[in-house]
Amino acid sequence: MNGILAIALISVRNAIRSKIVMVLLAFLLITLIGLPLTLQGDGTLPGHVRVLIRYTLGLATLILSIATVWASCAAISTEIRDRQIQLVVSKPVRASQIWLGKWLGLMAINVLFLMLCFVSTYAALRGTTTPDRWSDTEIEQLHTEILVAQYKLAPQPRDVREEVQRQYRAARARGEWPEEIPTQEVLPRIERALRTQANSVPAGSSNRWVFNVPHPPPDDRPLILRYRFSLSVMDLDPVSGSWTIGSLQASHRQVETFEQPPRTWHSVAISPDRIEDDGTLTVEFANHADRTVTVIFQPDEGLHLMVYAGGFLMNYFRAGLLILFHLSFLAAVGVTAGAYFSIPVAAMTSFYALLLINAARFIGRIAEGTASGGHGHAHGPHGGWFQDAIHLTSHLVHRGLYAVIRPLESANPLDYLVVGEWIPWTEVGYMFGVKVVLYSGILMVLGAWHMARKEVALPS
Amino acid sequence: MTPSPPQTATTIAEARDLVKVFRDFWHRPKVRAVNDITFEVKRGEVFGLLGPNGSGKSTTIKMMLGLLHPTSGYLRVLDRSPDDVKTKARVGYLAEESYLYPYLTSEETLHFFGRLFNLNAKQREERIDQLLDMIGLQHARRRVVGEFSKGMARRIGLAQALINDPDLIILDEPTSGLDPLGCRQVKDLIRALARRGKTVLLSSHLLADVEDICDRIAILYNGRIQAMGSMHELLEQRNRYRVTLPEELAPDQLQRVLDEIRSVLGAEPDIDHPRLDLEEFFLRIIEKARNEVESQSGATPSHTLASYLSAPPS
Repeated sequence: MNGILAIALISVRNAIRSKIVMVLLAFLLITLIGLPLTLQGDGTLPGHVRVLIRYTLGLATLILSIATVWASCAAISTEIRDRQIQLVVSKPVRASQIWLGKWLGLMAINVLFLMLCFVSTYAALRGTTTPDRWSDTEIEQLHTEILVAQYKLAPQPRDVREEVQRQYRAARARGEWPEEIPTQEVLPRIERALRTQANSVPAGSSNRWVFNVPHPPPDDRPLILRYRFSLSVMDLDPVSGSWTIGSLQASHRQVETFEQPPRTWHSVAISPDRIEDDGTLTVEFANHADRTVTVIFQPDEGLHLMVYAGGFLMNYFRAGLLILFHLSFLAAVGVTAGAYFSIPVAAMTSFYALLLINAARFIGRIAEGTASGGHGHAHGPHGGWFQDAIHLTSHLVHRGLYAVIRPLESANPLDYLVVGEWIPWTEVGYMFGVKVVLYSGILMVLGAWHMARKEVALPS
Repeated sequence: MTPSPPQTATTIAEARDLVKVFRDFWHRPKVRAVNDITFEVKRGEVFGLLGPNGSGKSTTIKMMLGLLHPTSGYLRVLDRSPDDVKTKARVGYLAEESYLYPYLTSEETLHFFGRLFNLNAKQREERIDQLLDMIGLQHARRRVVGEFSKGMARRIGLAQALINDPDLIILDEPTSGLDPLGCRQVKDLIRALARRGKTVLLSSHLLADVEDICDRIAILYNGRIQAMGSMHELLEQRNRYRVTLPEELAPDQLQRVLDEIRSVLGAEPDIDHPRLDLEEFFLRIIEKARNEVESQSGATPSHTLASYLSAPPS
């Protein structure tokens, strides 16, 4: 343990002495001080807070990520280059201890700077949302919609399975889909169309959704209906409509009329007494547009209910933990790459690995695409065994790659914060397990295994 | 590696048929740096690897430290593999260059290496104090190593090699970069360590250093051992003799002795006056100057061995 701590301390000193890391950290300070003073947002208080959190913490996280990758790549490779590693390796220290010491040192720096980022952003948040600058209504809206932790509920899905089958049979009978297009490609398309239709409201009509609210918010805190819609025409003019919330009995109904533009988020605060005894909440949207325009709520993300679950600070802390776990993974990638390669090669390798991880969904889609192509279901003519072999290889490579990087996929924690969405502890625990324990652990084994076999005193 | 009989109790390190081939990027053999060498280092001796640059001395030492891996052959240090952390815990190593962290002070450097040996804070404090006294850098304990002259850095390097009270001390070119005074101090230190029962393995291409301090040597050239044995065995010319006469011999007595030799040999013997070697002469001058001038610069060693550097159990 003594040895690990000694190496961690050296790792901290090395990182602090790196000019590139220092330049990046200077950018970090400029970001933390300069951005809160210059950001304007959309003129509303929620807009200001969203921009402040997303830009300040987003940029700070990006800078910390780059600094972490660089410093971690340099952690072992510079010592190999400058040969100090020879004195360390000749001491009774295992390769895993060297790896762990380097990683812990970098993590100590990350914890320090991440705390600085989060504390200063929070201070800026408090300092720029004072009653002398914003109205009481806006401040109240901020504290009910953004500076809280709310869990997100989607409306009950409509069962469209029978309708999908019916439309499929009808479409086949009409010959709308050529025979060579397989059923498994046609059915999802029909289902998507039906779901979009179920979330659409033509002019002059209305549509209804039902939410199950298992745990009503405490202390009569309001529920927030968040929505974003698009239009059936290429138009950004506001649309007039109304929300009717609660049971159909007049005494329990809450009616909100509005005229709002499409493609932007809107919200309605709902009193918790609108929830029925069976835990359901019904909302109905009426399209009052005086022109032929259909309002479309995106089936997955266009409409949801936010229910209070806890305070903002703990959610903010959980977001910090998620970022820290990501940085710990980056540090592990860099330290391991630095054990194998010189700094430039290690840095390139690390950034390439991060690029792949960020492109996980794209790679997943390629894997799906090559699956159908590789098994001879392509729409075009067959290309023979050679093309099939290429398809199969591509499919296997992408599928294998996707299987490796998929567990690392995670939503940006700042996306949760800017909408006041609850970050579940399960997500925090999962990311700790995956990024810190599993993947960093695997990288440690790979790095230490290589270091134990590496000849650190080869003539240059 | 080929199997070999176990080391005897007095053998500290053993190499048999040791080979090291450096390969290029494509794994093709490039240089055969060590070529089938066999030697033993015995407990308590000062063993020297002597040879010109590129003869394989440093490569052999680095294999004994686990910094390089033998291509073939048998190598054991302190009855274990050189890679074993238990071996490393009993070995002290001074590299051919100091390879220290330039931004650490002398004290921090020694604390760092002390921690790698898992020494507690009290042990480290005591040993660092004694070591800095011993190498004469007590006054520079808070100066960063990056500012040091090469000689001062070598002294810190030597101190870190001794911080764990090692049984085997491996010194790669220990006097490299030191002035004659420093060379003598290091050589005296090595002898003192040997008297305490420590085993020292050193490499050097400076013949005088090796001759002064080594009990046994191996001369390497082109990766092979060309000669090996005790200094006495290797340097003694058994078919020639030297007669030393008392200093107070009177001229007429000397004349009679010479006449006698001439009558016995029937030839004229070679006669000259003994000379100091240059190192000895230099040290005498410096010692005299030191006694005259109080202020000194650079290292001021205490001339005493750190007391914790104990004799290993026999």
